[in-house]
Amino acid sequence: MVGAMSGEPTPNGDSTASESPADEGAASTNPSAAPAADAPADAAPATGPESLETKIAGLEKEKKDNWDRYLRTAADLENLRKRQKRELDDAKLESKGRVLKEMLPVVDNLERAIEHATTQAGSNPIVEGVQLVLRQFLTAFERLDVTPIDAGGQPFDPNLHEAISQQESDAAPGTVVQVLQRGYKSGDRLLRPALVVVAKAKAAPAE
Amino acid sequence: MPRVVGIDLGTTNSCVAVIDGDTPVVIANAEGTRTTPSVVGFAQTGERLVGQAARRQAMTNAENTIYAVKRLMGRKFEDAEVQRHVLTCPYEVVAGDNGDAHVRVRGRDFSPPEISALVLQKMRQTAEDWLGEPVTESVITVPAYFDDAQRQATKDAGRIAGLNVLRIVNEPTAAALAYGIETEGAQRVAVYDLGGGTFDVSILELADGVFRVRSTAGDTFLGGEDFDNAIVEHLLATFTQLNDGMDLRGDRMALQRLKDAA
Repeated sequence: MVGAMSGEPTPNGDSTASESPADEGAASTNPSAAPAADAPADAAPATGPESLETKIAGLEKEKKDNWDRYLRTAADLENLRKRQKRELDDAKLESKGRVLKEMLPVVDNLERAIEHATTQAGSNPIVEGVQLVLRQFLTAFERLDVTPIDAGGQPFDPNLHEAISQQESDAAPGTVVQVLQRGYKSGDRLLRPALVVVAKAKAAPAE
Repeated sequence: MPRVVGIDLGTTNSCVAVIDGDTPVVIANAEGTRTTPSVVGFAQTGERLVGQAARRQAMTNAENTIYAVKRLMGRKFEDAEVQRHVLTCPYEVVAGDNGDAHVRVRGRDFSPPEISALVLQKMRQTAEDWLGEPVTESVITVPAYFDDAQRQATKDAGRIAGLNVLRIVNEPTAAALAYGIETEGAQRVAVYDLGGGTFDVSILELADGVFRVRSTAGDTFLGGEDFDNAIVEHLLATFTQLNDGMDLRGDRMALQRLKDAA
């Protein structure tokens, strides 16, 4: 890295900056052009052409170092911007996920209540009311981009499903035969895996 | 200079961190969690699952799901510790050519470093995703009681995972450093480490800015998971008592909900 220098890395103009490689060439091949015009008038006694050249070389080096530093700083800034955006997005997703996760058991229990009630008796206005509340909940989820995972009958997928047990079944081994608790996704993210029972072959125990 | 990641390769869970500016940051994996289960599952399709996904399929594929392989790292098959592990684990542990404990999955033998490497690779991927650049340099922690063979096995795991292991650090030392204890002029520190599968206590002594492990002890078969199980057992017993002997043990769903709550 470039050592600590007092000069600011001044990105004051893309025009001067982008010319730097060309500038360097010009300065070394044609040292007599601009400096020669000023030197005799101003600083003739103290500075011979040799010391002027060292000075120019020094300045050139400084310019190049500053330019490097500018490029690095610009790149750092760009990376920081990108990362900040990503971190912000992650934080949003995470806080949304945390709130949603707390809501899921409420929905689960509404479903259980309805299931229980519907096995008990015929039509009941209270049960219908609760069903409406549940539907409303699921609509709200939909608006928040929360989707239930449709696991029943699907091939078991450990990325979305959590196997709680296995059960001998006529279904093809490896398919989900029962969903014990529905899973949900928030956008692409898994909010909660579906808890499932997976089919296994009936007769001989595998392996 | 390339970035160096620090990896805690645990018995139950693993974790990766990187220094960002001057503060360490623990990196969340693709699933959004900061710890990744140290579990590798070999699916029937040949797919290798690592972490949470591997754990979720364990119930359907227990004999091909490797967990707690750290207990086998750098150990001989005859070791008492290995034999004790074999008693409870559903996958097959065999003696390799050199007498080392290996695991056999779907007819193929894997050394513990090979399995650990899959976990390390996942941690490496996690760090690369976050940093947006390739990661090759690492520091990995091991228990203070790990002997040379176990440390070497951990290094091998890193190498297989494409990581250059710059240093193997003792877990209690890493903990002490993380708490900034070396700056407080303390001379002797006790570090308690209650992990998912193990419980260690170490006494460290600080001399000339370097920690030395004076002594270490613990129970490699006692950890947070055992606590969880004990709580579940207690809840089950209480429930049975309060509900005229109704036993929830047969109800998978109820068991799972108790486990989550515990």
